[in-house]
Amino acid sequence: MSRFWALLKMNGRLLFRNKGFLFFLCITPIVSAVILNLKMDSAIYESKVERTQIVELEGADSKAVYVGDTSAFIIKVYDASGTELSEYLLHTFTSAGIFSVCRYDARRMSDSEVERQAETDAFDDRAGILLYLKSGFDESVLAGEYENAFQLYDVSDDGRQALFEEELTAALLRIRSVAAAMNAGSIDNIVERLQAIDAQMPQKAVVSVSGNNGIVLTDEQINKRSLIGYAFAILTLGCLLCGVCVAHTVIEEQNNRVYMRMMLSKLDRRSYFCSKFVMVFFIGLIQTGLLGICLFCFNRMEVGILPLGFLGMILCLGLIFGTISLLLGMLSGDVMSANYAVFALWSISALLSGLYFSIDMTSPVLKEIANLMPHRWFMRAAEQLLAGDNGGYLVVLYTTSAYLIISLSIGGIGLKIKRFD
Amino acid sequence: MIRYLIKNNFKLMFRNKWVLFTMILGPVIVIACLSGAFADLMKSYEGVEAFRVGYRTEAGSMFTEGMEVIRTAGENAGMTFLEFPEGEPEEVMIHNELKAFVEFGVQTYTVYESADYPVEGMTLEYFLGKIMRTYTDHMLTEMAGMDSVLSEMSSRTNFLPAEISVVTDLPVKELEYLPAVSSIDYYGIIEIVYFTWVGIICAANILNNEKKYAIHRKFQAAALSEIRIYLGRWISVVSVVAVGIGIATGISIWLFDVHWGSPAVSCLLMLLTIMASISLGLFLYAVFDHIAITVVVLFVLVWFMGFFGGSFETYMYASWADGVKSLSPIYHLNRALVEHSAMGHSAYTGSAILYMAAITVICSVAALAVGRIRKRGRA
Repeated sequence: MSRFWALLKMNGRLLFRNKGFLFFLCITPIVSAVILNLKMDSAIYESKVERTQIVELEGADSKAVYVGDTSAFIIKVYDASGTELSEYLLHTFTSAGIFSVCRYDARRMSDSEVERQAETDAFDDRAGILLYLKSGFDESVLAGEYENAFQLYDVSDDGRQALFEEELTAALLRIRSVAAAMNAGSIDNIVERLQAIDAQMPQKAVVSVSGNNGIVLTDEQINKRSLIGYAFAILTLGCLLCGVCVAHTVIEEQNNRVYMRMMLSKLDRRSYFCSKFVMVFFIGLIQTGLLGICLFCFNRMEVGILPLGFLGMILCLGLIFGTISLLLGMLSGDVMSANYAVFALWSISALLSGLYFSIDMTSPVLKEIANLMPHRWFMRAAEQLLAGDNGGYLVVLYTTSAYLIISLSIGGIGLKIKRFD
Repeated sequence: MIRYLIKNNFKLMFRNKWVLFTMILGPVIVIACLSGAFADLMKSYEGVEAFRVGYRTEAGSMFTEGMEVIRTAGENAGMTFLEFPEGEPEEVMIHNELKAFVEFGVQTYTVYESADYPVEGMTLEYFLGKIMRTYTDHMLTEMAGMDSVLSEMSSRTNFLPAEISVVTDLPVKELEYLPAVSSIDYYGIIEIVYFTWVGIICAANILNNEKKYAIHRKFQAAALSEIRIYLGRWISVVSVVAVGIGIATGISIWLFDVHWGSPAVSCLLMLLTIMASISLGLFLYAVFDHIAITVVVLFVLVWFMGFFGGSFETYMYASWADGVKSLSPIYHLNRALVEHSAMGHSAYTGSAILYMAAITVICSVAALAVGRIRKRGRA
């Protein structure tokens, strides 16, 4: 045992002399903690938009594609009318279930400005149709002069456009028939009457059900998942490069015949490799500890997951990637090749695992390939834990055990084939 | 002599298999990831195929008597209604592979929409909304009760877009627009362009070797002109990058079915891009005389051009001012290639060709000038 400790001490001294190792050991947890403390809004790309509400656009050139429901038929509205009747018309569309309405208050825009904006949006946005509600909307609709009331711009080949036109026609006819029945009362009364008619309809409720494997996250949880993804990416890069530094000590010891001298002593090969593996574990512990301290200082551990559980995940992640890079380094026998290999592994694993963006919509083949990546399972576990499902800890445990068994077994066989000594 | 130079450069470049591998595999992996990530945002409506809907009616529901008629109307609209009196709707949907579920209460109804099948859920919601609207209109005008409304609904088949005819003349103006571009087509084109711009990395071995073994002195001894040395590098690197990018494009078409526009225009634009990118790379190398610095500077430059030109966020939806986008040569290229793919023509083809030709000529002349100045300095 004292020999083993002596080995560990020697490894530690060698590693802590390496400035590159110290840099990666310290800087990656700090950067990760800073990332986890960022305030960002990635949820706009994947949040579930409430179709029953009109989405207000801040500018005429704001993109409806980002704020509207892309599964629905998006209607981008330039509203120069801003009346109760135009509001009623737009709510008719939102309540239909198949349309998503995004509106810009265009009361300060001229007809020609709206047309120019429509021409731009035809290329630079993804609306199904553009609807310009003109300033004299109410009077013109009641008079049946639709060309003075509004203008439609056909900017897509979406098959649901006919449904929209039918819905618009029906709504206009309804408005006019109610107005006729009320003998052209005030607009307020007409809108009240229309709303009273709508209130007679059987009330509808819509419940969104998550898919077979889906985990439904709130916007805040989606943001936290994105930050955790970036933090995982930075931390694992650090773990991999620290692992290469440990592998570097093995390569140096072999080149300088230190390894041979050690084997001539009473030390066996298993203890030697165990000491390297234990070093990887210690590195993981140090990084996790540093991350914990930084997180406590920066954001009071508010990552959306229980602090100890989150740190446990980081330790497991570090253990997997540290071991893989140690073995890759020992098998390649060259630090530069090991760096290339771990960098390639890191890039592909991070990209395919959805650390930077969700890969839910990718092809089934790519998803199957992604399932081979350790990051993928950790992201899945993080999603579960964010959603309050503690089953995520089991996923982490199984994933860590599986990858350690696989990498140590393959690494052991590889070292035997390579005849390390 | 120049042929010998090109041949030697080919040998050097093919020795560095890692870089060639990255040039071919890099775009393919990035295309797969980015197109998947933005698939939802860029997908277009492709109609709804017939699907199964689960339902249940509460005792005393106003819908009970008319269910047969709703089922028939649903069948006409491509929805098969199946009754499931027991179980939680969410579980019933998953276990029976239902794309939507509806619970009819006494005077209300609840639609359950699966996150996996949002369009089907919406279609059901719309279908039921139409029934309810027709029912309400008829009831209020005292024309008929629920049964007769539903009888009318059962004979209707116009719930699908293709079968609808709008009677009223609405003021509709046709504008020229960019048809829906799938994320596969967009990123399948854009990432190939992006990786083309970093093609100078293929020349790393040539430039490293020339520097390591002080080849420039041997060139001087052989009385090789600066133009010949430049062309020796330029032709070989352009050829290797063209082959590499060609293979990457072929693989992406084979794997993801990426649709490019007219082959002649696309090939011309890509060839000009490769020429421009290599000229820019060689110019930067002439300035910095160090491959690592050249690569870092070029990557940063290309990243910014790509950032404003639509290599990451689509150029259509990016909120940068048009003036800022137009400064990026990548924007002109991306737009020309994407519009050729989607529309068959593009107003940006001319500006893209001009940009690429200008970069090629200016960078080549500047690289030669810098090379001459450096040569005089050495002498």
